[in-house]
Amino acid sequence: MSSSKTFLVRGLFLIIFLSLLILPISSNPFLSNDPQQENIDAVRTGTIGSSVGLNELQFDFREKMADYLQRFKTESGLILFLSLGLAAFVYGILHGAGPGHRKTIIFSIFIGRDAKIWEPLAAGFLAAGVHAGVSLFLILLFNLIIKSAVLITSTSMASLYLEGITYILLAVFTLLLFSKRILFGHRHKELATNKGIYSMIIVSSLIPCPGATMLLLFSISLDMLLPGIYGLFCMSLGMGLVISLAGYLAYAGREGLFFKLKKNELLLARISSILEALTYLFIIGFSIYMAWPFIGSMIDRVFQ
Amino acid sequence: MHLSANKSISILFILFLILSMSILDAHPHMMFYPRMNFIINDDYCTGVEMDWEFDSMFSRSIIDGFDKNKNNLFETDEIKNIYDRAFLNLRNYHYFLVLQTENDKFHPNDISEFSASQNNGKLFYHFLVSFEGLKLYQDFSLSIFDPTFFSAVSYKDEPVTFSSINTTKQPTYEFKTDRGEPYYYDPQGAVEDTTVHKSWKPGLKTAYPEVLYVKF
Repeated sequence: MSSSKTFLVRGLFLIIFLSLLILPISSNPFLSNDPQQENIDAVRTGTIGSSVGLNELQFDFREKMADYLQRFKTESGLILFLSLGLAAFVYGILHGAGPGHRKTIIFSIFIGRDAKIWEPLAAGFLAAGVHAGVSLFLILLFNLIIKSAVLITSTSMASLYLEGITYILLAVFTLLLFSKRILFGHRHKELATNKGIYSMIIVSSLIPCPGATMLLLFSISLDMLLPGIYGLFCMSLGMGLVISLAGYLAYAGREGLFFKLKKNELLLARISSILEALTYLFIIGFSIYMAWPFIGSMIDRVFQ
Repeated sequence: MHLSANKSISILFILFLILSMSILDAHPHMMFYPRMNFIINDDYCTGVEMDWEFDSMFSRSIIDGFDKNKNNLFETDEIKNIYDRAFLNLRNYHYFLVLQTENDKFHPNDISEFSASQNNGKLFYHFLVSFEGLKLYQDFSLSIFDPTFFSAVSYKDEPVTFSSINTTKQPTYEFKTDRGEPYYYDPQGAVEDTTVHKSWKPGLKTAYPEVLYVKF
């Protein structure tokens, strides 16, 4: 394949991948804290039709998890333990593979920077861990401290706000990094260092995963919190694996492109610089786009 | 580490195939299984009794939160609470319903007689969607689709029945995912916006839900 065709194929991959992954989670449409008041708008919702077969497969595994958790009340043993872990792991893969879970952000980061081969893996597991950890934190907070009567509505409303706020934070954080580079004229270090990218991943993942939330609520209602946390851990491993794939897709594309250009160092430096700037701009634009309904809704509420 | 162009293309293909499998999925976090009993009165379909069964985890969350006295029954005040806090918000999504007749396509918003129950850890919602005044005596279709993709809909165990009163009409039904009949919706639409979009316009999203076709 000629280099121009190779470049075209890669470009097409990037465009298709990015356009198809602009699909975040949304707040539960069934729930409302106050029926008299209109809910704050969630961040943007999905744009493609669902595949009934894959949905059913995902929920088959979730029902299996529910079944194993229920059996923990009366049974124990290694097989049950492993079965729960496996069901949660597969559910995590299927669940994390759907839109959202910050795959777009991870993808953008690894298109925009040099990385070691293990870094997309670390980033994927970090995103999944934070995503699941926030769910655990919120559930425990509402359950143990606030003693919220209806955990699911409280958590759903908290998710709605956290989701909007994290996108705004991400946009502001990225804008600051970008401004440093543009305004102060020096090549910023943050994105190129682990501290920068991992901060960005943590900020962007600070929203509870609704799938994890459901699992924890279920285990709390059965008084099986520890098996629930174990299930959450296995589910996060599955999700982390899939999120890492998004990072590796970007990593492979960048490495391949740069290998082609390595003889021309000046061009390589320019492209690297442009990719980095585009990464910033993409993350800023993407975050604002996603949070826009939430921002508009908050402004409406303030001025009403 | 550097990969050859061919190797990177191969990796991209493999990864893209894996990821594209997931892209077909729309990321639902809960699932419900509707059953529908259509009421045929004097040759007209006057409404449908909905019976939605929810997946174990959502069920447990609602039961745990709303069954205050933990007696495995929902009393009137508990049902009122569920209606207010875990059902009524669906009005903002037109209860996920789109009805299509030969000449028209709209959201049937006349919902009444809401009730909730639980059985073996599963949550059920029951409510009536009235078609009174629509003179629904010809073939029509009904789709149940969550435009936020938070919930997925699946059908099981003979999901459609007909109750005929004062008539010998026995309609038939089938489910189809008709690629020629997409559902257009505005993800930014206002709460009071009940527009049913019959063709695509900028800003609208497209989905292809499973549609129930009722034939007289």
